[in-house]
Amino acid sequence: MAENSSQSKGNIGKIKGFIDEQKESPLMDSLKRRWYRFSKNPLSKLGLAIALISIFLAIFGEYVVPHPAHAGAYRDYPNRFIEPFQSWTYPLGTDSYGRCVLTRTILGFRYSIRMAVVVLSLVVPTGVVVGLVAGYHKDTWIDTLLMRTSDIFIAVPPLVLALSITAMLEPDPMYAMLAVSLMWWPWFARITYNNVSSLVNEEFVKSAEIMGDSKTHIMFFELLPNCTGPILTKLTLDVGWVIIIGASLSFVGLGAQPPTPDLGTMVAEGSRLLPTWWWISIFPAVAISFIILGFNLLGDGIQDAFEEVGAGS
Amino acid sequence: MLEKRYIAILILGTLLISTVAFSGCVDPDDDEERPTLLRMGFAWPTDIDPAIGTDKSSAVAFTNFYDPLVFPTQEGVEPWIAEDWDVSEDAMTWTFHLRDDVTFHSGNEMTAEDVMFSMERLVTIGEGFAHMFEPYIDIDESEVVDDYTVRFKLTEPRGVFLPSLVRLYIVDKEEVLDNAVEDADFVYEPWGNDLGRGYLIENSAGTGPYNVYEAVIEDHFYGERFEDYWGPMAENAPDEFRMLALGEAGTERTMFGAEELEITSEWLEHHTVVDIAETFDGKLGAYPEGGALYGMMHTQKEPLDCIYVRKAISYAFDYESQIDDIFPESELMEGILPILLGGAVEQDMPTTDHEKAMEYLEQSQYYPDIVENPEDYEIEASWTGAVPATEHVALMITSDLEDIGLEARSRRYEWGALIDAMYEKETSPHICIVWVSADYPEAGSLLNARYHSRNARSWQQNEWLEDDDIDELIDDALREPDMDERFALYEEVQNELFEMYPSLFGHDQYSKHAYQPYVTWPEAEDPLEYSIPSNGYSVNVRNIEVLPHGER
Repeated sequence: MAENSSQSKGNIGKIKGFIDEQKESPLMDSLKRRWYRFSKNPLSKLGLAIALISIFLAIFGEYVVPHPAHAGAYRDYPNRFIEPFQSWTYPLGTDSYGRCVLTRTILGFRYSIRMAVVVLSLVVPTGVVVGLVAGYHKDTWIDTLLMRTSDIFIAVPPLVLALSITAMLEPDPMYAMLAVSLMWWPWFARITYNNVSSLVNEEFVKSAEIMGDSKTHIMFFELLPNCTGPILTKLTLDVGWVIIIGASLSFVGLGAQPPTPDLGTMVAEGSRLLPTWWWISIFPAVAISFIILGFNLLGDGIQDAFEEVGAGS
Repeated sequence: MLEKRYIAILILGTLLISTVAFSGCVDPDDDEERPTLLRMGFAWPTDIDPAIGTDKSSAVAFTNFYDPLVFPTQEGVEPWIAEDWDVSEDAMTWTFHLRDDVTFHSGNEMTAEDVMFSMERLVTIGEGFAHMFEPYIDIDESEVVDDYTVRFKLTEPRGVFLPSLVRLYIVDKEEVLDNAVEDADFVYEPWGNDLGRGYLIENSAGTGPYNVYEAVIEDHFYGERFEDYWGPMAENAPDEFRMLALGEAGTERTMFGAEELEITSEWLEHHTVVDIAETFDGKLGAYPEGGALYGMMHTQKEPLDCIYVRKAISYAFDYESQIDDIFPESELMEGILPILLGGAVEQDMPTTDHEKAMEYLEQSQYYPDIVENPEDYEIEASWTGAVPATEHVALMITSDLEDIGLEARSRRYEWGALIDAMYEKETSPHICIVWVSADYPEAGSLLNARYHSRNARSWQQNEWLEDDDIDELIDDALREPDMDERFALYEEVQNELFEMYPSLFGHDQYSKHAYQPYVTWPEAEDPLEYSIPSNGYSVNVRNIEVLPHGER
């Protein structure tokens, strides 16, 4: 009996310990469960791998490319138009200047990823704050002012707005990024607004208000954490879209300027040489698709992870 | 009800069978009847009004839709609408005797009234080639002597007046005034109307071998052969001359392959033109037009305001590679002007020598700061997006300057934006890479356009020399009636300019094209014999032959 009693005490202790452990790291638990949901789909893992490779190449590209000097105003006319898969020196061939297409394609990741990083780091905070404030003040003049302003920006076709802005200023990657940012924030404002306005009458918000928490606290510490899933999903999916818009601006000469290795510019330059010298545009185009595919798959995975967890909790 | 269905099926079946049966049938005789076309690509804008346009495509339009008073040749000019002329001793009175067998596309006879009106219209509108006449033509004292004689009075002697007349295109006074509009954006006094400016945007009113019958701005001009043309025409000159707004390599390649384009446009890169010709068994042709590629250096902008920096750049540039690798159809410049122009002289041109470039750089007022902090002296080499080959030159300049320790970047401009930038001294780039061709086949044409202060605010100049001595020398030369004397003065100007190192002197330009095997184009096939060193005159459709369809 005493043995049984001590055994049961031991089991209870284990259970208590387990519960305590659970209480100590709810974040870890949440992350583990999300990772489990995420990793169930092999395509999500593929997307993550592609995204990590893209980021790695964007940061360390110059250390892995075979011909770093080919990033600049390098020319080697005797070696131009070398076909791909003919030599180890130029595995993906050379362009009309004699520059290594593999080198320039890899270095092109930097501009594309930088474009996405800069644009999203500008638009996500802006859009999220606007959406939070408007959503929390739903049906007030603040809501009307902020959301109608964002509607005006949404009404203009994104590429047209970006083209107009960069055409007015001089062709420069920084202006291109600013132009894309200007048209992109309303989408994050909209998605945050939709989520916040559906949560604003929930009990946990009312409780916080009764407890006397400040509006800032309620918006950023009660509401925002509940919108993380959709925002993260959109952010990941938008990486691809921002890269496409950036490449489009470069394609028409309003983004990165030669000789900067930029995938959109390389596609534009190579398109003049199709179909005879197809590799000059095809490989950069494949690289753009590679990045976009990766981030889209990653976005889908993140969406799965947050949806499942959200439903469970 | 059933009968109706049968009838419907019967009709549909008949239509289907007819369509299939006759779609592949072409009467062999039709080949003989089909008009021969010469379709050529051009960079827009094309102004077909001879009082407005000046660029290459406009000049080609004038050559084929109009006739000038005199026609340019390799040696100078030859009689054309004017059969003969007299000049007074002071070179201020020029009398022209006109042909009496010339008719306009409208059917009107061409007379001295039309010639006088053409000059008056040109200088009144004051655009296009007006700058070649407006400062010194005395319209009030000029007169129509009789139906076939016209006399122009000048306010000062002008030796280049005669060669300048290759840009006086004769318009049909009656047709133009019949279509002039009084309530227009541009109204000219004392005429009180637009002098046909609106009408001539889409119509030709000339005597040339082709008459515009369809115009869609920014897309095409179609001209049909003028059956009553007075002048020489090749036996198989095409029935139609079509100017198409093109320039995109892929489009031209596809059209050329489908025989929807006879001659590719001028600004395609050399390897693209060669590829098109080789892929589709076409011909390759190139001809000089009295033009050259210049890297125009802004002589009033830091650090190019120092002659030693300009000299350093001149010796840093890779001239040989420019020819061998980018423009193999062209030739290195032998002087500061295209050598084919009358009065152009050979000079001791700079060659690539980086040691010498460094020596000059060390003599610069900006040395050593310019190499220690090159980012403070960044030099912008601008190029035109519509002409991809200029990007190669810009990058070549960039890397050559980096080799001598300077910092440079290439910048792409759209053509319109570049023209706007070059209009103001403050906005003009450091270096502009632009081809400029002579308007008449003499050195004076380019000296005036390229280096005289009066033309500083134009796309033909980025140097901003604004040098009174140079202006005076050019004016003296242009005034000189005696050709030998004039050429001697041209030489003096060229030597003075050479010492100032105002430009990178790239190459004597050869316009290159791929064209169909059923086209014979003397100017492109034998340029030394036939080409004319004057912008637009080597695309002279009078001389081009297109084999009839049945003989290809």
